[in-house]
Amino acid sequence: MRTLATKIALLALLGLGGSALGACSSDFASQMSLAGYRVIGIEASPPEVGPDDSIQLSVDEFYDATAALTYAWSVCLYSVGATEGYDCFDGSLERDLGNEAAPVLDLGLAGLNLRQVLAGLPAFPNEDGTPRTLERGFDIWVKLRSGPACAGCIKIDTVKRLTVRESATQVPNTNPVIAAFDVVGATAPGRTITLRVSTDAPETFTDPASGEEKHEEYLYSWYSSRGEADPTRSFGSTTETKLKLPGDAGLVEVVVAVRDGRGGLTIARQTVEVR
Amino acid sequence: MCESRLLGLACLTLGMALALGAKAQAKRASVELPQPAAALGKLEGRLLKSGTRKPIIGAVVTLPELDLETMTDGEGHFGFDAVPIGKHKLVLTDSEHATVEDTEQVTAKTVTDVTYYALPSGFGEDDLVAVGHQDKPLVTRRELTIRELSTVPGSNGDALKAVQNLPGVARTTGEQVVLRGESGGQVLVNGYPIATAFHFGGLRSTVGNGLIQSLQVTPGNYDARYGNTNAGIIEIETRRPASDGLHGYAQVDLFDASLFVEGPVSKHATFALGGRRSYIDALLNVALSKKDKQVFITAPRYYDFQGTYDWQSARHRLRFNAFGADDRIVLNLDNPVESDPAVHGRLASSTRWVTGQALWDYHASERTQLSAGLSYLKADYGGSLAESVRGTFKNDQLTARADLKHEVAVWLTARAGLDLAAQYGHIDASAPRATDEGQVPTTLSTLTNITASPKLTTYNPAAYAAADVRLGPVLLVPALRVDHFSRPDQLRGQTLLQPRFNVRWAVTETTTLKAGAGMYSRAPDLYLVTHGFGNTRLEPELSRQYSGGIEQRLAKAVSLDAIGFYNDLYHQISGVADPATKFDNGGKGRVYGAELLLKHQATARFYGWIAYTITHSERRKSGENTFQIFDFDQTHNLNVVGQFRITPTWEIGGRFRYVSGNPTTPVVGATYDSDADIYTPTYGALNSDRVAAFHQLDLRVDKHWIFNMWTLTAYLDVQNVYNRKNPERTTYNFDYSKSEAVAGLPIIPSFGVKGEF
Repeated sequence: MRTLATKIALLALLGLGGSALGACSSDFASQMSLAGYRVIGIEASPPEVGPDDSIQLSVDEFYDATAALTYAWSVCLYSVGATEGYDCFDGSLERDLGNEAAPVLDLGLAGLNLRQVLAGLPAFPNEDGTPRTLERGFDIWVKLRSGPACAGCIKIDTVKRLTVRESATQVPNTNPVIAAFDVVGATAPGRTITLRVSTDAPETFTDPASGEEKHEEYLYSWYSSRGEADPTRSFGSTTETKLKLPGDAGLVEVVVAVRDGRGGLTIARQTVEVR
Repeated sequence: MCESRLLGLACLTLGMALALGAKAQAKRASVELPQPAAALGKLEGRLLKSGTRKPIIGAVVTLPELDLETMTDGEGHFGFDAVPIGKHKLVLTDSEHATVEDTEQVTAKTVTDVTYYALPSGFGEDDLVAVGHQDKPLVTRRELTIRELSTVPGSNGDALKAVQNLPGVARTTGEQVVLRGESGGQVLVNGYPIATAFHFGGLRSTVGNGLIQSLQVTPGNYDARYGNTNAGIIEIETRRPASDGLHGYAQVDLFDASLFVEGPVSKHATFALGGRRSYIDALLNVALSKKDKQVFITAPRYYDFQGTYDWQSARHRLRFNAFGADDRIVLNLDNPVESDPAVHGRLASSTRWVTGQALWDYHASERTQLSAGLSYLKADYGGSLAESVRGTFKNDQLTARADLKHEVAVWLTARAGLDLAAQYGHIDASAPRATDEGQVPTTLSTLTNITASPKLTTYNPAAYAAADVRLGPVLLVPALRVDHFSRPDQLRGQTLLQPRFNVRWAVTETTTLKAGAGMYSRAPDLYLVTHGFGNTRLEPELSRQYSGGIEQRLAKAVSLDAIGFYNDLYHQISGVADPATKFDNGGKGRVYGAELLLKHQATARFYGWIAYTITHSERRKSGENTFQIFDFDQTHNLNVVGQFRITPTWEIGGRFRYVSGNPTTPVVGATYDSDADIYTPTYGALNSDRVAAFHQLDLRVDKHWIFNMWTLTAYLDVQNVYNRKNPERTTYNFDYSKSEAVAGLPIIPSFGVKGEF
């Protein structure tokens, strides 16, 4: 009844890697080519909180039209995860967060009252099967449905994981800090320019699963409204990309999103005039 | 051609064989006679078959001018004791070989010793018989001859790949062995397990053809001698290496090169050694750009080897076999792939295994035979993906068998045996949970790793007893197998009684009816019963298998085999949503269908068959009410195979396949994961859609050149002749709003050369 016969899960996952590689060869437009309405990410400040804290939520988005945008926020206290479409385990575990562009999620007494809610819930394990405790930390999921308000316009569903932890030893995660986002080179039509980002140093943390000390490795996603970036994603010490500008004059919006792999996200954007 | 080391070795071997052949053409010897007869000499010699150097027995040897005649003996030897000195015409005649004529000089006081080689005059039948397999009366057991195994078009001469042309065997593009709509089919070599049947992606089997004597496929209702699978069994029997001299071959084709040597060690003992190495890495090195080469730290490459030492006396046979394989690939991706940011950095995968077998066959009497053996298998699997996913799996398996067969009476043969298996595994991994069958895998970036390092030992001792009861035209085979599955962490294991019953009724000389029913089981894969990755409470999966059909001989070489089957799968391991439990035994499944095989047996000039399977295979996950289609459910599976010898040295063959498209799960939406920067698909009902049907034509041409002491064969095997873009899966754009089919392999002409001596 299962895909694997004698090997461990890992080997199948390497097969997934192969699938992912294979998908690169199609002629589809790149995810990093911005057009229409796109969500680049949900920022949570801070990305890791205690059970009595509040979080400022906001959406980083791109939109090349002028229609009004709509937002519908919610939070799920126990999601079944990506393999099941991020469904909430039970409808009663989902809370509405309103329709503002940048709501505040209050986990404390005046808001979600998370401590009391958790006390009344069954002992759900984490996705890796470990006990779900405040000391060890657990995840809740913020959901957003957003898009142009026009009739028939497609809405985008976005999810973001928030880590709730009450630990005397673990330092809460923070969002990366972008110090500079530079465009280097002449911006003539058809020319190739360099996009370069400078950030703070990645943080060190203790992996709750293994107990090992680990270092964050930033992932850089490079978006542009026109032209072709290569690479479209980079990580670690590769903090720049090349962007081949379009052959005609005009404005090009370029965006870099920096993710720390633990829920931290910061973006920066620039408008480049090609002339 | 001889630039690489391996190719060079192959060339060297061919060159040596060529040199040997050239010498043999002129092989004559004169020996001083100890007691010379005045004016008379001796003429002796040997007649061998060109190419294989096998003796030609019973050939007529004449000295027509002297009116002398004799025949070759069992070793191909002949001799004339008193031949007048001088030149004499010698004629060697055999009905299956070209006549050899020559003039020999006979001198006084010497023995003139000559060796002749005769070319086959017709279409040899040496390679038509798969000999030596044990007689195991079953409802369905299909066997391919050596010639079929090595020349089926589209299989590139690979024996195990040829199996996919038989009924009941699903078409797969990977390493899976799917028999009668169920995965996990066992591939056994001499009755013992191997770690993997195929190299990377099913490109090649890990057991080379050199040692294979027969290959039998039992897609269901298999014998009580075997257990631990709810699918079927593929049995590879290895042969005794040649005892009549040193033989071997060297072979090169598009993917790899192989060498094989066999011969006698002593009067009773023979040996064989063979090996193969792919050179896909070398080809990639030539084909790829400098930038792409930087991606491959170790380009995909595989090795395998086989070795045997075989000692045989009148009653005893001892064999020591060793088999192994090694696959490895290491990639380095400087930047994350766009479809999954987690896929970046160093990506490595390796599989390495080796097994040793010690086998003893004892022919106690005409009525009693005993076989016993011990096998140790050691396998290491490894893989990593940068720092995000890593894992190793070390697996040791010890298997001991004893099989006794005794003919109690003419109508009754009793069989009994022990099948003892123990397994140790150590998994050390940090990886997401394994996907369940039918479950659609998602991207690594969105999954949570499980980190664990469990070690586990399992025991599976089993015993069986069976009787072959012949009541006139009816053969009844009642059998019982008892399996015990246990682990040290269990208070008590599970003991399963599995009765099995097969019957064959020869209604007429040309018509046989047959039926079978039985219970079968399969232990959970090791990782599924470990802490962390699985559920330690899992129990073996069970099935009940039923089949019935008819075998009809339509002509001397043409037969029809039709069978219907129903497999009831229960107590199946199935994934559950609860991450603490992960899996339970609440799954179910059912498979039903029919197989048809219209076969023209391999004759001197032709073999071919039409194999058709209609199947419906479905599963029901734990806690759910509806069945879903099985991953490899292939409603229609048609294989038409034919191979024809135009002349004794030219062969042409073709294969056409039509297979229903594999099930697929449609995408009905997508959610953007802000943390992973990737869209995750929302799937519809599992396996509720299919990709388009697969169909393909393969053609193969073989040309043989026969020299005195060796043969050279060149073949061209063209797969997917009309370049059909067979969809294997569906790929999507970044937000899953667009899709397109991903085609399988295009037209591939594969050229190969094989030199045998």
